Amino acid sequence: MMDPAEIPQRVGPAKESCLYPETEWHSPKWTSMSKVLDHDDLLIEILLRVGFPTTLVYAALVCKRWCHLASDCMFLSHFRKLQPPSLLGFYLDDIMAPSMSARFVPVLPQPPELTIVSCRAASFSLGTSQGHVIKCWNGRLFTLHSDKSGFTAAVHSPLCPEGGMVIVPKSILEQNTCGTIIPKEEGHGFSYIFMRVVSTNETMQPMVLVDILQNGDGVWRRYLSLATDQLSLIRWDVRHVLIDDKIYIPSALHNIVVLDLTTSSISTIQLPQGVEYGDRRVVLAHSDGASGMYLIQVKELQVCIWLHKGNNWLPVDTICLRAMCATLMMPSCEVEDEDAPILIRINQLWVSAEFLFLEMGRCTFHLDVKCRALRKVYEKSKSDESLGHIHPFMMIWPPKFPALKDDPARNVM
Amino acid sequence: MATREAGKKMIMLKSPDGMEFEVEEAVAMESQTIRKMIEDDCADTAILIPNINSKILSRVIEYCNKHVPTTGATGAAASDTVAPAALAEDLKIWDAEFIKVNRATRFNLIQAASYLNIKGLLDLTSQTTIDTISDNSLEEIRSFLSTKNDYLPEEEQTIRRENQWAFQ
Repeated sequence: MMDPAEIPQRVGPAKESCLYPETEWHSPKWTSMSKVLDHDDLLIEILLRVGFPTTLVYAALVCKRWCHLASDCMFLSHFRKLQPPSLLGFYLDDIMAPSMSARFVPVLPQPPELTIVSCRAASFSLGTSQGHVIKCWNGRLFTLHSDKSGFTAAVHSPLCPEGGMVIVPKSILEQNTCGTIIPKEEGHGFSYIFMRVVSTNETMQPMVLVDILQNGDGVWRRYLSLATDQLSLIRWDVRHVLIDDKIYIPSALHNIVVLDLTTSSISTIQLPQGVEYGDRRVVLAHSDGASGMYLIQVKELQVCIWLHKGNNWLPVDTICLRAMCATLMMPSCEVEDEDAPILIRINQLWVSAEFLFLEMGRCTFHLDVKCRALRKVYEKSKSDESLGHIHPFMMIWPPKFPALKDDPARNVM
Repeated sequence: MATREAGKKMIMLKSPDGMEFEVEEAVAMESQTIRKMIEDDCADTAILIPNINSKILSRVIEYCNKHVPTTGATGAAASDTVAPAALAEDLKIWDAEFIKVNRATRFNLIQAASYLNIKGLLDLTSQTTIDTISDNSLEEIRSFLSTKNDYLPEEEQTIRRENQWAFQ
């Protein structure tokens, strides 16, 4: 019970007349429920709190007015901010073991609202199409299969089996066994960028070639060819980052080569002082919204996050793993001896560096950057020689709501 | 009257049905709407809260009193002796009791929480409606909310097909 002194004191009716006559509160025409649910702003507040895209789609089926509110761009962007897409699991893919097909490892437990989705992801099989996972995004899977005759690239939709598999038109991919392909989401479709470096003979400078398959177009078109001495090879197993039509390519020991598709030019960014690549301890990542790029570095038991903005590297976050490892009772990480090598590698990270996967010994951990939480998600079995690459598989976003005819009479109050 | 206890500034809240409530400024500022009015110096000592009757406003004040960060005499004592986790647990139990109200009151509280911009109260009051959406068939939701299905079968089918992942 409340302390009587804490209960607000009623100091009697005020002298001025009521702004709202008493009768209005009890009018059957204005029940409290319809006052809330007929009011767009209040209904939006409720819909924002349903928490999961699955529930939102379900709510949109109640009536057209609800669908109309749920499909508004501003609403969807607010919803995403409150509830970023969940991590459903990850694909494990060992590029060095061509006979092995990628496999899905669910991240459990999932909330009941995502059980359906999680089961769909788990029951999906790459089947005979084989191929290695190059990228997962937005509930889709991009695979690349390479053999003597060149590349085969395909997009799979594990969460929408009816979506089937889309084979990327080949032509340019045939007879090319080096280079990499970068998918780029545009509207409801995709464009693809195929990038490689060729050198025709020993004396000529290598050329970087970029071909683009535009969304809706059936033919690959040469976008640019540029002489360069900064790139000798494009590896398809290295993480390249595409931000605002610029491709960031990790290169040499201390460099990032930037291929600007808008200006058709190449430039170089030095890594922050003292930072160098090596055994997956430095990884590049997208930043959300702002046109910058993140760099994540693991140094002993510390994760450092940098943001490249303008021409500078800004340190934005440092996470100490020591206490987290101690909580998880990992004896190898409690060693204080500085000479003892602690093998931590970054395996994969997500847009905006919301989380990353770290390999420590035989185990793989998920580090939630915001919540500072580390949890084990995988342990290598004895038959696994190397872990390969991890590709986080995220929930689809946003839902697709069709334009509806006869939109209901707007009932804005 | 504006300083009931030494060092604590009091604010008068008036409901449109003519009731007045004297509350600590810190409690009133749980409402972002009132906080802004106070910070912008728009509030003297009395603030008229339109649209929220005295019955609902008193419940809102009760909620804010409980949820105000531990600045009150009893609150401060509690935080010295009780662990934050226990306090949070206590608040959760209190919230669960608080929201045991009829449907009309709950929707009035949603409206009040939205107007006064009290996030915690809006979260709490919306939850039952959200549970209704998550746990029931579409027919049940529509009947609960007195809403008519205005979809053509093919329109509903399109939404289901485009968002296949959301359905069994």
